[in-house]
Parts: sequence; C-alpha cells; structure tokens
Amino acid sequence: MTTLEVIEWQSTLFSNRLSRFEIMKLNGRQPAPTATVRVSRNHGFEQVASAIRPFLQFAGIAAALDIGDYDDAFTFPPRNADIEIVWIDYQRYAKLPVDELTAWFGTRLRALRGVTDAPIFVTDAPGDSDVVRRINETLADWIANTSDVEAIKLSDIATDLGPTFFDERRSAMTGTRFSDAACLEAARRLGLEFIPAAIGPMIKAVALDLDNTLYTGVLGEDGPNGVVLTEDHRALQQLLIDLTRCGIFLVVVSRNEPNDVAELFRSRSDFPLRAEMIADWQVSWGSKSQGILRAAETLRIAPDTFLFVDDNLGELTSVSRDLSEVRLVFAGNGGKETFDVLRQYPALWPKNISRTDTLRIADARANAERQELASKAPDATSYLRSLGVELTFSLNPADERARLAELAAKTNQFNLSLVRMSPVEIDRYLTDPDRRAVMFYMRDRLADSGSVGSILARRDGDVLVVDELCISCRAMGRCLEDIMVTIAIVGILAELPACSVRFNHSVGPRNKPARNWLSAYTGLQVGEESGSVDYPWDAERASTIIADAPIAVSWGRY
Amino acid sequence: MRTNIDSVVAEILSIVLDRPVAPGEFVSRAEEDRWDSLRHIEIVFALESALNIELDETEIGEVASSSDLCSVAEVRLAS
Repeated sequence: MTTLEVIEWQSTLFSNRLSRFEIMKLNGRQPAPTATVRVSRNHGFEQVASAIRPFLQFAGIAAALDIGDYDDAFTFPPRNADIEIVWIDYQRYAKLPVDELTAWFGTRLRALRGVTDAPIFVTDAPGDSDVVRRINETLADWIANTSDVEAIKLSDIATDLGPTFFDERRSAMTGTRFSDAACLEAARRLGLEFIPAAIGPMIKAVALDLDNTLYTGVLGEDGPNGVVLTEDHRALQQLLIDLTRCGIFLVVVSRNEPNDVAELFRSRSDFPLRAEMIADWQVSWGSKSQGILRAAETLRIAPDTFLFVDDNLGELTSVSRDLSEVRLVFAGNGGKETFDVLRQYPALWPKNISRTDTLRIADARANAERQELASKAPDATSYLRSLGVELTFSLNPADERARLAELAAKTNQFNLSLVRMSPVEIDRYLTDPDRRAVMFYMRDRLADSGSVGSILARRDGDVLVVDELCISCRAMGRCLEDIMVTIAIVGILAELPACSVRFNHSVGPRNKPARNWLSAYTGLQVGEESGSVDYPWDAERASTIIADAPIAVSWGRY
Repeated sequence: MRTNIDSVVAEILSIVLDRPVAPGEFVSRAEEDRWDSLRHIEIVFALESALNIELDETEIGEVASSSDLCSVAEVRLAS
C-alpha cells in the first residue's frame, strides 16, 4: 500500500461514521486468500460481508468468507476454517423462555468448540432489556470458561449508534433487523480488530515522530515550552500510555536535537507521556528508517513488527520505500485522526494482557545496562553471576494458557517447531495425563522479565516428544538456553519418564538461532529441512548443566 | 445537481457490477446478471450514504435501472 493509499484508506476506514459509498470505492490489490472465515448465522450477514474486504485489506489479511445457509438450529456441520463467526440474532427465539434459550445456545456453542480448534467469535445481544442482559451474562460466563472464544459486542455498537442500530422496516429485504450503519460497524470491528488479532502477526512497537504528531508545533523553532499540547494530543498521549500497559514498545524517532527532546520531556509536566515510558530513543538528523532498524535491534524485535506514526508524507514515503514491511499511520488532523486510527489499528491491541506485558518496557530499558555488564565480564559465568539471574519453572500453569499461546504465536527466532499452537491445542497439554507444559520465568537484579519461554511435550512410548519450544528474544543472549531447556525437560521426565527426547523442528524465515542451538545442544546434525532429532537423554550431563549454572532456580507458581 | 447524481450512480454501478458504467448510461437491472437482490440492496445503501438520503421500501423495490436510481435520488434531494 502506498503512502497516499494509506492516507486515503485511513480517513475512510477509521471515520467516526462509516459510509458504504466511501468504503466501496477503496479498491486495492486482492491477494489470494490464505485464511478461511466460516460464518454460521441465522440472519443476514451479507451487508457485513460486502463491506469487510477493505478493512481486511488494510490489515494485510487475505481471507475468504464461507457464509453458511440460514440455520436457526445452529447445527455446525464439520468444517475446516481458521476462524469461526457465530452471527446470531437472539430475537428470532423470542418465544422461548430465556432460560431455555441460553441453555440451548450453550449446548450449541459447546458443540462448535468440540468440532474445531479455531478461534470462535460470537455476537452478543444488542439492546437493554432484561432478556438481553441475561443472554449476555450467560454468553460472558461461557466465554470466561472456554478457550479462544470472544464476544463480538454488538451491544457496544448499539449503545454507540442508539436507535439507528436497528432497521426493522427493511429487514424483509436485508434479512436482518440490523441497520446498514450497524453492519458497517460490525464489518469494521471484525476486519480491523477480531480477524487480524486472530491471524496475526501482532505489532510490537510504535515508532513515533514528535513535531505535529504528539503535540502542535516544531520543537526546534518553538522550544520545549512553545509547543502546544491540545486536548486531542493529550488524549493521544494517554492512548499511547495504554499501549505501553499492553506491552507495546514506544520508540521516539525524531529529527531533532537530542538535548532539546530531553528538555522537552523533562520540562513539560503537562505531557501525560513521560520519558520513562519510552523504550528507545532514536533522535538524530539521520534517516528514520535507520532509526527504526536500530530500535529493532535494541529491542530485539523484527522491523516488520513496527508501526510508524508521522505527520510528514516524505518521512512516511521514505520509511515505506526503505522498510516496506513497516506499517504506517499518517498523523493528520491535530491528533484527533491519529487517536482514532491507533484506537482501532489492526493487530495493535492484544486480546489478553499478561503480567509479562506490563514488565516488558522496564525489562527492555535494562538491556543497555546488561550489555555493559556483559562487555566488562571476563566470561559468561561471571556475567550471569553479576546479573543475579533467578529462573522459576512452572509445570502445567493452567492460568497461563493465554500467555503460552502468545509465546507460541509471537516468538520467531527461538521457536523450534513453529507449530504456533492455539489455546485449544495448548489446553490438551495442560490436561492430558501424557502431556505436559512448562513455562519459564526470569528475573535479574536489573528487571523482572516475567515469562520468557515454554516447552510443550508429550510421551510417546519411551520417547519424550518436544512439540513446541519457545524462548522470547528478551531472554536470548544470556547463555541461558541450555539451562532453561535442561531444567524444564528434567521436570517433565520426572513425571513422564522416557529414555530419549525428540525435538521437532521446522525451517522458518527467522528461527535459525533455535535450530543452531538444537544442533549444539544435542551434538546431532540438524539439516536444512524440517524434521526431528532424537537425543538419547543424558541424565548425568543434565545434572552437570544444572549444578554448574551460576543462577538461582526454583519450581512453582511465579 | 443531476450531473452529480449521474456520476455517483455510475460510480456505484461500476463498482457493484464490476464493469465500466458512464454517467448517464442506461443500465437495466433486468439485463445485468450481477444486479441480483443482494447487490440491489448494496447499490441502494451506497446511494443513500453517498447523497445522504433515505429511500422508502416501495422506492427500493421499484427501482429497476440507473435512470430510476437517478430519478428517485433527485426527488429525495429536492424534498
């Protein structure tokens, strides 16, 4: 998507009130679908379907919609889909007592969960009657106790649109009681929020320009006290703070004097955004593309996980040319449009926020000090001792299901099999007597890193099969991989005894570090093709690795 | 005003019918395979959002051509 297309599409797709005419005019390249979204419904979905394509295209998603026939019984025939949408109008069961309706619908949803591991999105009931409230309470309760399910909150859209949410007069023609405005808004939520978050990859960092992006004015000309924080910019800065609470890195990428920028954040106490919330600073007169690349290296994340926000078309175009994989936001209209875009930007807001997300920025900021310690230490052992590393291992941490799925989905460099298991698949490792999940947590004297890795394994005869092994890039570079994996496997073997360990591995675009580690750890050849390595477990060697580790180790809840 | 309506109707029909439609060109619903009942609703809703008008159910049902779309839009804008 060119910079000009980004601006044009942005103003239409993130508008406060959507226009079908403006949406249908957006016509970009349509790549072949790579995902299937199955829609089970009992009323018209066509108005949503006809508007959803531009939202998905903007999100970089190529998905095919498989819309089922009208089915009030919701029989959910067997199917293969990457995402399941249940588009239900509860009003069609108005003659049923609400207890019967919720009990029946609960059985139907459980039936769907039983035939698919895909994420399920179910519409709630719009309106404010007692019946609606009870339906939504039942739905919320089921969602809280089921893996990988989410409510499409039509009730929120109804609150926003008011009486215009419904259009009963045209329901005979459209097949739905929902108005066109309601359907367009549902298309936006599905296309920008639900489907991108389910398919990924997620954005990990927002690179921010300063002048006329976070405030009105030019720092170099107006000075720190001359730039203006409008109400819209204040709201935008507050939204950015919300992002840091979700574990998203903020990086300042600005053409300014570093001293001016430091003084700006020191002196402007009215700025909600504080210097300590910024994970990395790239303030120079050099190219912003280079700044993003340097920040990516510092934060140990890939450039394609960045979202770049700038009010300058030239800068956006330049970054787009140099780093085509970086996503762009045009910071127009005095902060208001930027706020509206970021609030709903696809793949930016995680569905689940773990404790680790809240620790991420402080952990990243400690990396500079860690690197200094590493450069001064005579060897790796001294380095680890100086850091005071503590590792905690947790066996089958059922309450960390979402974080286990997140690690599987997000890790790239140290992800051995790239299976990227869904929460439903991970549930099997947490509950099956022949399977185990181990989560690793790390802290040192500089910062708490939270959960940094996981192993999902199962027993197959006298072999322990490691189906998934992930270590966050935040934990790499501290020579801890051998120790983490060895301790985790020893813990699993204590419950699932086996003679050898089989590591499944896949070749991915970025997981060379994991494959190299496997080769070094096992001393076995790891070819350039996906496969598995059978490693006869050497208990004596494992004991030595653990005993020699200059770190503190414990098992239990973190 | 009619020129603008002609342009809007032509643009909507071009997109929905997936073929070029010139402003003022007569396009009959009966002769267009792609102009089915679902796309008919899409065309009407797009016209309503483009011109900020609202058609009643009878008008929606009776529209059978590009000319009808232009006429009903013109009446609505004038009222």
